[in-house]
Amino acid sequence: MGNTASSGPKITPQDKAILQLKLQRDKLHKVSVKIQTVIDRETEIAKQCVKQNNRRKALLALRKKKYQQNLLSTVEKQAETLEELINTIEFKLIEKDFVYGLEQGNQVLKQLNKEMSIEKVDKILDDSEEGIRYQEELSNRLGELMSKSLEDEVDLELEELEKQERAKEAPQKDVAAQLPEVVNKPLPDIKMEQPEEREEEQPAPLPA
Amino acid sequence: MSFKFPSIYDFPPFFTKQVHSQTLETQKSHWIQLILDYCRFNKIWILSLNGESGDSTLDHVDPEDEDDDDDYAEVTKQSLFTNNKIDRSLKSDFIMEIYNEMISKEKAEWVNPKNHKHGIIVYWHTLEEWANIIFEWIDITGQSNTVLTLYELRKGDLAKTQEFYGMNPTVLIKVLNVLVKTDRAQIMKDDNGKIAGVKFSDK
Amino acid sequence: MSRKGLASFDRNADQQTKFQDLGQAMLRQREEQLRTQLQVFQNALVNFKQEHKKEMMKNPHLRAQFSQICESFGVDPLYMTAEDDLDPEERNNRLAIRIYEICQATRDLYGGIISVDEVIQLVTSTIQDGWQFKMNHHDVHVAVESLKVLGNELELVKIGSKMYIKSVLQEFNADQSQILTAADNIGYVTVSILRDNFHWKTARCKSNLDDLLSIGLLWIDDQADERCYWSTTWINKSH
Repeated sequence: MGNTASSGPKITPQDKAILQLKLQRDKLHKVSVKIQTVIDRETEIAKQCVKQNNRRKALLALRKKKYQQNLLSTVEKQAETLEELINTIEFKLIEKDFVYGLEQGNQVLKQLNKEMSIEKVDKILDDSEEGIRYQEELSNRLGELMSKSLEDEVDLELEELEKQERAKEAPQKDVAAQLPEVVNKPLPDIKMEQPEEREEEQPAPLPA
Repeated sequence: MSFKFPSIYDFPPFFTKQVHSQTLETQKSHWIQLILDYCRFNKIWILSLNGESGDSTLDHVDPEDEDDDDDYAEVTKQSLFTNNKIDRSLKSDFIMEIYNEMISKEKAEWVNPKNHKHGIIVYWHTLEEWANIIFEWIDITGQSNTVLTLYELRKGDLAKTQEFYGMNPTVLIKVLNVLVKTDRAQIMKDDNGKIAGVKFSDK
Repeated sequence: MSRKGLASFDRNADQQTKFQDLGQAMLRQREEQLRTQLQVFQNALVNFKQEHKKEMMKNPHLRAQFSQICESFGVDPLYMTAEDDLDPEERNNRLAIRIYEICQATRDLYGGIISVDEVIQLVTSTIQDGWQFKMNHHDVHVAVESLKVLGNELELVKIGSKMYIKSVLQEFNADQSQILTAADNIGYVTVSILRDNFHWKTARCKSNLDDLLSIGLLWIDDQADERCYWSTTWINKSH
């Protein structure tokens, strides 16, 4: 069969089989065109004969026509069967490609999985676990935070309160400041923050 | 709707080879344009030596090609080179001269270069243009990479509205060869070694 | 207050007609609106043309676009004909160019001669760059006259009773004019026609005919009893 050396599309054995089927179908199609021509002609003859009052001849023509019509439907059915077969094969080929594609995909997947062995992954996961935990914590913290504007409002309020308190209860504040100093001498830094936190929590119920 | 001839077709001297050289050039170029327009309109791929559609006589060129004898039953046997209205016709030697000029301008080609009696293939599109037209169509209709018979291309239901519908098999094979040479298609032969099918590549 | 029984049907029918009336009124209103809108748009187009006359005359692209818009809005693009907008000199120049182009385009086929009637027909039947000219014989005269500045390429000649534009440099002698006149009448002449009618010697007929053949003004037809010399002016005649 004709495969010239060229880099056009490759002709597979399936292609050849399909070609055979299609050629067969074409032949049937041509036959049906021919039969149709005969049918048309016989019809014309029958009409003529009726016009000329030649009943016998008209009947003969009609009988021939009937026969050809039967033939035609047979041929057409055959052509249809072939066409279906061709369609099925062509679709099967696509399915085959599809399955082949799946196979390929699977292999690639396997390969990738091999490269990503559980131990490797575990180790990487272990390494990253801490990081993840830290990240999570950070996110949680951040999530708890209020929106910037709310925060600003709160800050303002806090300042206000602080001012008031400084003005009203200056001595009290001194005492409060002195208190932690007495209790926690070794960690003054943290202790400095704590009172602020407490004061932050206190005003919260006020607006509510 | 029938072909509308240009007004010069009814001008009697149009059918006599002019003696004055410049007039002759004008005359020939008008004839060539007329032939191309006429063949394009009537889908005549092969024009016989007397200006009739030569598509049906092609069977004699290729006796194996009996499959195709039903294709051209309806072709008119009116010669382009005879105008009955004014009772004028072109002389055959002048027709040959016009044909030769068409061939030199790549608007036509002898069906058989060794035997001119089969007439010319008329190219209102060049082979390259036809190749592009068919390849484009295959691409946009999603028929790349499937096997098509020549008959399917020429006479298939899908191709019915296309300009190449009904293309003469000889011409089609020439077009396909252009596509093969440019790696856009692969020709398939049947058991008798006759070109029967084609597979087009993706774009 | 809700009506009951048959009365409610009356009410329904009542409503029905009212709705219909309303619907029709609305349709009418819409139609009116559209009509006015279209009118406004058409006026705008006309105004635009008035205002931008000069630019449009200079810019063929703008002109073509404008006439396209005009067409799609049902405004007669003939508003744009040269008659209204061009000053006479400009108009004449454009005509002259069109005529020159036509003579060039038909020169090979007609041998460089074309009847004024055909020129007018060709000019007036085509729209080019958004211009469509109306013209008469006088316009052709003026235009051809103005082309003389460019050299004597085009010339009006009278052959028989008809005017032609001749774009060949050759001059016809009296004999040749006579031949062309005769050929234009019935399409062709033959040596014997010339001999019989003009009482010329055969040689005189032949040499004049050959001269006219050699400048492409006559075409031969050898498929009659005697060689016919056809006038190129008949190529377009049968249609």
